[in-house]
Amino acid sequence: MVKSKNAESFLPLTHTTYYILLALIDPLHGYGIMQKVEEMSAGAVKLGPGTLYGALSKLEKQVIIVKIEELDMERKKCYQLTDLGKEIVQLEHKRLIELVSASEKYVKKIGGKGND
Amino acid sequence: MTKKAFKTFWAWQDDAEEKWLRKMSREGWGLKHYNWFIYTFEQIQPTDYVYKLDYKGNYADDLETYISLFEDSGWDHVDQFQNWHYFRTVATSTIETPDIYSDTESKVKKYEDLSNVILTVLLSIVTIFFIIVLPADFSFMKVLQIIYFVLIGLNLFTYVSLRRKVNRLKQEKL
Repeated sequence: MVKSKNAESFLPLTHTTYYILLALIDPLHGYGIMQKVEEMSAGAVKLGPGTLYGALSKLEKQVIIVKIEELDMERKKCYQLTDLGKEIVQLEHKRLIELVSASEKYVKKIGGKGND
Repeated sequence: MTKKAFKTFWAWQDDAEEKWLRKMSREGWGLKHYNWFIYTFEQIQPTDYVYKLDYKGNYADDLETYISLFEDSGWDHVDQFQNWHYFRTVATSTIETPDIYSDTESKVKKYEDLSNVILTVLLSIVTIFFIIVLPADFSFMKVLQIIYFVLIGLNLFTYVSLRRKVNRLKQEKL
């Protein structure tokens, strides 16, 4: 299959998508993703099942994630990042780092709450 | 004991339908089955159930995965009517009403998928109307023409209302 889109074209990600992809670095089933995202974001991002279902179908269609057959006790479908997915997470992480470091000294100038 | 109720809600009035079902469950009537405007309720201990209607817009063969995702996160699957799914969960004492969507984007997608289906239906009946129903010259065709006219009107109204709901949702944040 020809990869029609390159990883850059998916950026920037919404924070929901970014967290879902981060959760799928190791294979995980749907409910596991919800729990992991909530844990990673320290409770700030709680995914609704409708939202997660929509996101998973879309990401699967875009070949960013893939369903894998895993014979675990619950017989639930697990998802995992594809190579394209891994590349997207890395690029988005890099983009965010660059954004933060580029803006750092300017934001500091604002002063006040949150800065010394 | 069960009872049946006839009630009509438009496709974009799912919020109102959810509220009505919640009120019914508080009065001791839990939804059991829905089919073409007929609601079948069973008598239950009055419970504050929050109902949510979801439209499964993709036609992927993954109903089991879909339903288990909701059930794992605490929603009971009550019934399915075409691509609509009725879910419910017991309301908690926290102020927030639980929702199956956690961002506006995905909630909007539900109504966009639905409006696309309505649009497809609308375009097909308009095509049939102009190619077959309108030119035909039988006595009973008059009746069919009127039926088609009504159907086109209903679908057009539904489509426009759904698009307006999409635009309204996009403007306000969830």
